[in-house]
Amino acid sequence: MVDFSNPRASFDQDLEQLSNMLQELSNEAIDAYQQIKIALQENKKDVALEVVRHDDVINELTEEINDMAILLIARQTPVASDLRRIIATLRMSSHLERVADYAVNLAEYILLNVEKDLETYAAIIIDMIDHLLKMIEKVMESFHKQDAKLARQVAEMDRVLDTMYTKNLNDLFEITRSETTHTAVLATQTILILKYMERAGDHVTNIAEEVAFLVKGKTYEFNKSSVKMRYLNDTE
Amino acid sequence: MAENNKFKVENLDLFYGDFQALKSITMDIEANKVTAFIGPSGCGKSTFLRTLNRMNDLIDTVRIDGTIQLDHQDIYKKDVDVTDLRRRVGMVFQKPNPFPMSIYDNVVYGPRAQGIKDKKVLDEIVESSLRAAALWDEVKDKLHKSGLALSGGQQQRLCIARTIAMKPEIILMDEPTSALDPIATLKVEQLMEELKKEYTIVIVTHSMQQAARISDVTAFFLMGELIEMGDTNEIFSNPKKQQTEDYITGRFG
Ligand SMILES: Nc1ncnc2c1ncn2[C@@H]1O[C@H](COP(=O)(O)OP(=O)(O)OP(=O)(O)O)[C@@H](O)[C@H]1O
Ligand SMILES: [Mg+2]
Repeated sequence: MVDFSNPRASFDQDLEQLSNMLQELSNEAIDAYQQIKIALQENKKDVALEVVRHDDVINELTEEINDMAILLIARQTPVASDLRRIIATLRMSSHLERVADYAVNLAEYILLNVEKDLETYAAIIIDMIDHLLKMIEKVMESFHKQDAKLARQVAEMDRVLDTMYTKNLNDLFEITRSETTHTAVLATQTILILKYMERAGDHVTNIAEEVAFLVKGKTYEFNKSSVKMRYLNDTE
Repeated sequence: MAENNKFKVENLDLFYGDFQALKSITMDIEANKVTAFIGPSGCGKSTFLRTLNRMNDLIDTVRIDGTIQLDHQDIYKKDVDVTDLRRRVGMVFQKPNPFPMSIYDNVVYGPRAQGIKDKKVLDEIVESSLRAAALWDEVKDKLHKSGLALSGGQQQRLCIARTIAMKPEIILMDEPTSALDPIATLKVEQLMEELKKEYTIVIVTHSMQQAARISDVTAFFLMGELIEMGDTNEIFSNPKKQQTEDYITGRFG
């Protein structure tokens, strides 16, 4: 017997699968950062190399999400919340891919530097990674629960990540000017790495904005940078 | 009433005998817009459409409460000339209904009834109306053959041409493309786009995509009630009512 109680049952299954794929992508991103932590703490170059290699899998998964979204749009002509969900998932996946890309940058940093140097900044990098991971977990929770309030909390967490970055920046900047070339290069590389973590946080915030869009049907910008805030008046 | 409103409907109830088919419908229909009525079968779309040119008068069990104004005039007042009303408010029906006469005579039926006799004028009306209805090329060599000898989709476009020939102010269309192939459908949609510059169009459609493609305003009906009416962009991207969302996304069980 055909069950007519939900005429869109098969489409709903496809949407479910699309969400699962996004979850899988976020798991991959989280996993990459966890590997980075191990590589950093235990100076395991092979683990870092594995993160670089694994990036292909992440890119493929992103492509699969793209393909599936396009197919669903073409074949199911989604509207309203269905359409928002597909569009939001599409954009979220590309933000997650970027977040995972930064893990590859971290892996390269680990591969390029010797144990003693890595030890110098491991603690501050790991602090930022830990915070980033909490943000990713929370944003995915907000996605599954379709909870715009929870999504907004992610934006607040991003401010903490920004502060972690700026706080360390001043110290590192001093080091790039005053010490030996080697130390200065390492400090510069580390500034970039911290900047990547800060950028990764922005992408997670963008994902949170997508969740809000999905739930509310309006576009949100959670975190305007302080510079932008200062130079743009409140007409927006 | 806003300057650009054609119809103003207030608290309209309609009964077929004991059965209430429309429940307190209140809406404005804007001039030079395409307004689409959507909703499940039996919700009252055709019934409501027919109240706009008093086609329901022909059914003797029908009773109506509430008011409908066309350009500020109550169309249900005693002294209203219903023939004139139906000339101003043309209608294309769900099923094509060409008259049993030639294609040419079908198109000029209205204009002739209005007293136009000049052959040249009538010829012009025939060509421009058939062109507007995207039928000219297919029938220009057999204008004096019977309208009934056309295919279903061609008959539908002939009926559209017949309606346009009357130069109405408003065109009501009840699922005008349900019998048309995709190309003819798109032509009729293009036609509506063109027609709305001069006319006001109200269309009933079961195709969500069609409503989304062509209408400026969408009204969603459910069991005789108007659930939600608004900007088509809003309705199809972020409707306010859960029932609308369920219907347009196909979750309506
Ligand atoms: N002449 C009539 N006499 C009695 N009841 C009628 C009559 N015409 C329609 N109805 C009833 O009124 C309700 C609305 O019918 P209507 O034809 O307006 O629906 P609709 O929305 O146009 O449906 P569809 O999409 O199937 O064309 C239905 O329940 C129908 O059975
Ligand atoms: Mg009908």
